[in-house]
Amino acid sequence: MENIISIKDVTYTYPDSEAPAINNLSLDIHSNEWLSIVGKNGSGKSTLTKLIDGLIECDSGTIEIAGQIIDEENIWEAREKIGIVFQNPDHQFVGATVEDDVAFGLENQGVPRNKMIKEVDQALQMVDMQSYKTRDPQSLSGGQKQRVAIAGVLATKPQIIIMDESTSMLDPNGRKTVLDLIKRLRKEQEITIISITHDIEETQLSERIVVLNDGRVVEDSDPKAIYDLGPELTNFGLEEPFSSQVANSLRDTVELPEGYLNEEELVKSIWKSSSNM
Amino acid sequence: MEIIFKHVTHAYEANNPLAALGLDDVSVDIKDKKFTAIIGKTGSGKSTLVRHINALLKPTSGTIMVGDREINAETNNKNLKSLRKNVGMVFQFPESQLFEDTVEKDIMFGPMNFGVSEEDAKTAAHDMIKLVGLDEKYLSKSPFDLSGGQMRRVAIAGVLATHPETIILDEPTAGLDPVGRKEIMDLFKNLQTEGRTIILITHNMDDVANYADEVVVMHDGKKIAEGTPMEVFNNQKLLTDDMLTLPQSAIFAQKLSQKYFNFDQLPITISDLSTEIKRQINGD
Repeated sequence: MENIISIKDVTYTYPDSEAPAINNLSLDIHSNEWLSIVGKNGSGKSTLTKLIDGLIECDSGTIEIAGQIIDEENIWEAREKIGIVFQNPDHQFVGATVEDDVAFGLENQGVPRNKMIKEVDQALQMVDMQSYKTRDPQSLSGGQKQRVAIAGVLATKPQIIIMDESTSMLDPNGRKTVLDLIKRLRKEQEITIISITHDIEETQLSERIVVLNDGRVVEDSDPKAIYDLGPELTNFGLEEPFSSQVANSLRDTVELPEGYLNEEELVKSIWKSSSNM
Repeated sequence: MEIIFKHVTHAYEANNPLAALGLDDVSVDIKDKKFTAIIGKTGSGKSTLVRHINALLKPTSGTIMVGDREINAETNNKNLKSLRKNVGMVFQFPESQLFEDTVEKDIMFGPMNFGVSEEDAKTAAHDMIKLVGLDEKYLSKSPFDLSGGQMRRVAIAGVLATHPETIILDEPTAGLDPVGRKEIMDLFKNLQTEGRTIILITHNMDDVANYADEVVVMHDGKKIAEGTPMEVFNNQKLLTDDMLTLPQSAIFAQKLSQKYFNFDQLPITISDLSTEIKRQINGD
């Protein structure tokens, strides 16, 4: 599998801090995978994002993006390959209208006006927000704002999208529309998704989960294997998936298969157990 | 303190007859020393409602009684200090309101603003930092060197330091990791057990099921339902009209009831769900 990002032995300590925020961390991120990075507040998730985007520089180690080790010289070039959608939808708008806002990133890249108009339209279409293009972004719901933010990112045609807790402030409906959008984008185009999240349920959609703790990778596996960690997940600030909590509360009375069961599997197992009675 | 809304209407632009109503004839009774959750979709009027309790917003018509204090359209902006001392408010992302150069000064700001001596404010800072689950060594740090979750705790400590009787929380745990979220929610539940009134705005229906005594459901600026979490999550009309998302346990029970199982009342917590599944399997 080709790597779009390759992080090797990276350490970073914030000025005035004693402990490193990222501690000798190595991680390969494959082209076109959906990777979840989870871990408690302060585990190093945000620092890692800043390092990948070149907002801060590693104390030691290297980060390679699309085949090139990033340094001061080429960081702007590398950054064009990455789009970030942040947590708070209210903190990422600069334009007076939705279309101005989506155009902002393209303007920064010096795209000519007629080309820009076309690409803004295209990006808004991809997130299904074209009918809102003349609206004031502040008048939108949280989920709509995040879709516009994603359009702004898509317009610049990145190879990697980092979702930095981008659904954590949304209501359940808003969250669903954003996640459905990501699922659809992955079908329609080649794109690597790195999703930084606390929400264990959300990680079910991804192909691989990396757990960070104290600036290190402590687990790296597919979702089922991570969920099998069970109550140990709370050591990393995470919650056991809902279906595991229900299963655990039933095991003393109801016969269930070993290991992690998703909700659907758990419902079927309970039915099976109940029809045998 | 009991908080009573009587026919409260709030027009955002009072002079514009076409302006949308932030609140539309809301009457609701928020009980003393209870944990009340306010739920509803984005834009339903939840935040507008609670901002009337400490007179950050004033009604266009109607009255709000906070204890024996009345707030109405004519309420003067002066003399609100005693009201605001009694009603503490933790906004969304409260860490954005931190501004002092040490955590200690930041927590002390509230009490001193309400006339508490420096010495007492300092004592409050030491008490509160521990209450929110941080070590006292953080008091000398700059709030801006802390992680997001730690900043959130400092901001909450600042609100608690004035010892408000009523605490209003607007999505206080958004962005916290699940373990941190549970700690903060347990803290608020403890404050309630100690005799405070807690009002929580949230989208997290599992928190409503696990922590709240009472629920108020808002939609389009109107109060459309109230009751215990069990009553509200079993309100068929709200469910049919898609006015409500259910806690995970209730959704799970709905799935189970496609075969073999039958729930008169949807269970709303994992322990209720599990008890009910076992009861039905054992077929009493």
